[in-house]
Amino acid sequence: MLSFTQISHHFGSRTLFCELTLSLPESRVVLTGANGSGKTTLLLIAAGILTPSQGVVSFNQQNVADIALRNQIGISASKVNLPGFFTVTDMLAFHGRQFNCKPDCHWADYRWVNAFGLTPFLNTMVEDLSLGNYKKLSLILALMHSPELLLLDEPTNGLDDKTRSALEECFETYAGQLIIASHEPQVFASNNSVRHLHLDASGVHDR
Amino acid sequence: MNYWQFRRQLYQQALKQWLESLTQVSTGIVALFPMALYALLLLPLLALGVLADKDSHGESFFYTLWGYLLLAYCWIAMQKEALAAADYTLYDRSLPVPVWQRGATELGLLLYAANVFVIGPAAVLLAMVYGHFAELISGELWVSIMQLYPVSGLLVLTLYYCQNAMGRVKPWLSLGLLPLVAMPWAASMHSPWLCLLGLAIAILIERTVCLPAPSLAGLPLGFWRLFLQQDINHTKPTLLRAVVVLLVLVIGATFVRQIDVSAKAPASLFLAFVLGVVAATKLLELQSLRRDYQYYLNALPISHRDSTVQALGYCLVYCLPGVLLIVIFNLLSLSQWGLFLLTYAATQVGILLRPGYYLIFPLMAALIYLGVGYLV
Repeated sequence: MLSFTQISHHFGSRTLFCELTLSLPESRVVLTGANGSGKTTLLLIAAGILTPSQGVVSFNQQNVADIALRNQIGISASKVNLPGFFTVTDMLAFHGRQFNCKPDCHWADYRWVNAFGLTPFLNTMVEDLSLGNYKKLSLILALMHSPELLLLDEPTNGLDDKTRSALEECFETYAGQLIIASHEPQVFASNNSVRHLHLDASGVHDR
Repeated sequence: MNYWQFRRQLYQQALKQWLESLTQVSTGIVALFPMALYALLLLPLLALGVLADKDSHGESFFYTLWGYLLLAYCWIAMQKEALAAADYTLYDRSLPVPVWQRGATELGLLLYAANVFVIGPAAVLLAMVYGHFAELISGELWVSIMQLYPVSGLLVLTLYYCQNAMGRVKPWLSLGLLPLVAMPWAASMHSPWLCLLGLAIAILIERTVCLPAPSLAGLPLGFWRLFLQQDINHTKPTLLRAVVVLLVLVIGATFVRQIDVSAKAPASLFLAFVLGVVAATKLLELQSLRRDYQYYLNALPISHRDSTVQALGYCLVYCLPGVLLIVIFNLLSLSQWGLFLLTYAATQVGILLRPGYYLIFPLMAALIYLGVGYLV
């Protein structure tokens, strides 16, 4: 379960969250909100990669700032800039090694690379990838170590139909907790056990 | 606005941003040594006295020429993207500008950017041609050639390296390996001829023999891979750092060896201090890389402390070729090596603790070192 306790965060003089306390026991959560409402920032804070101005975020009673928890969290967000000087293969190999989850097969045969159609771009530099392929790579990196908490920011942005289908299939079968920030209302449209949250200037509200 | 004005404006805009970032980086240096930048600009003019003289001793001609050409190459290499309007390449290519006009504009911009290095030898050559005009028309051509060849050679080589800095061929042999290998014999060179001839042959070789691309096989796969691959793919900072170290060593070799014995020790100490700072500031690059990808790196299961230790280790290994170069130049005694190591360590501590004021740390360390040395 993901919990936010007394979270406050400011960007300069602008307050994004003020003493936000929230528990998310649901396995599927969708965050919506206008541009700049703080969806991505909330995901970054939940992943433990952005320290809030105040408060604590915990996942399964463990502080997400704890390095030991990194293996249990996966995040894909446009703000999580990937090293552009790696080729896709180098990026996957580097990431796999860091999380100790390198597959036994060749990257061209790797499940997510195949499912997302990234095989033809394995030798492409990350900085040369199109928006859609960059998103695919970011999603694969988030999924690679099978985290218990998966945080995805606008995961379907720029993706082709084939990849969208593969991603939706992944969402349906994913065993861990999945939190998605999205503008698209059809995410989890067929799933009734999804918690929908809306962010605005006054805070986070259930919909 | 015509095409020339358009490209000049792009160049000046890029140069402005570059100078702003350079000012930020060098604020500490300028604050410590207010005359450093002026002295750097005066160096080419000072060097002309040695390089234009056919009677210059081979050794001083060798080191001065090497330093001059390195500085010219480095100067243009730093401005390469600005000169090529790299940020606007696609738009620039979409313009219906004839090939000749594009070529002439690029040449004009290159000369405009390299004027500090080109105007000096060109002016000296013109003055000398004017001075030897009578010999030239009276048929005593050989006498004139003997007088004019050092400065003509310098001008041709400067133009070549300025043009070369815009391309892909790196002067790995002519400005790197060859002068390093030839150093032990520099004292026995009695004429500038040999230096110019050697450079011409080296240029010919490096233009025909392509260096093999660095292979990634066998390189470390862990966290170091991140730093290593950044250095392999973006060679410019490494190249500039190597050129700066070489320049400091060449200037050191030229001046420290020629000054009075009593002034040698303080000069070498200063050299050790500068080299220590230059070597340690590699950590600034690594910190910048870590800042650029902070969210991704924070998401990895490696603590900030561990990644800092990895960066320090990488920095140490990265500096080893530089240390080898210092050993080859043989300019530092044991106590000066002590100051070099202390400066290196203090600079890195400064970068980690107070990145904005990191130069204060090596300066304090050097003062303490000198104080202790004085008392002992």
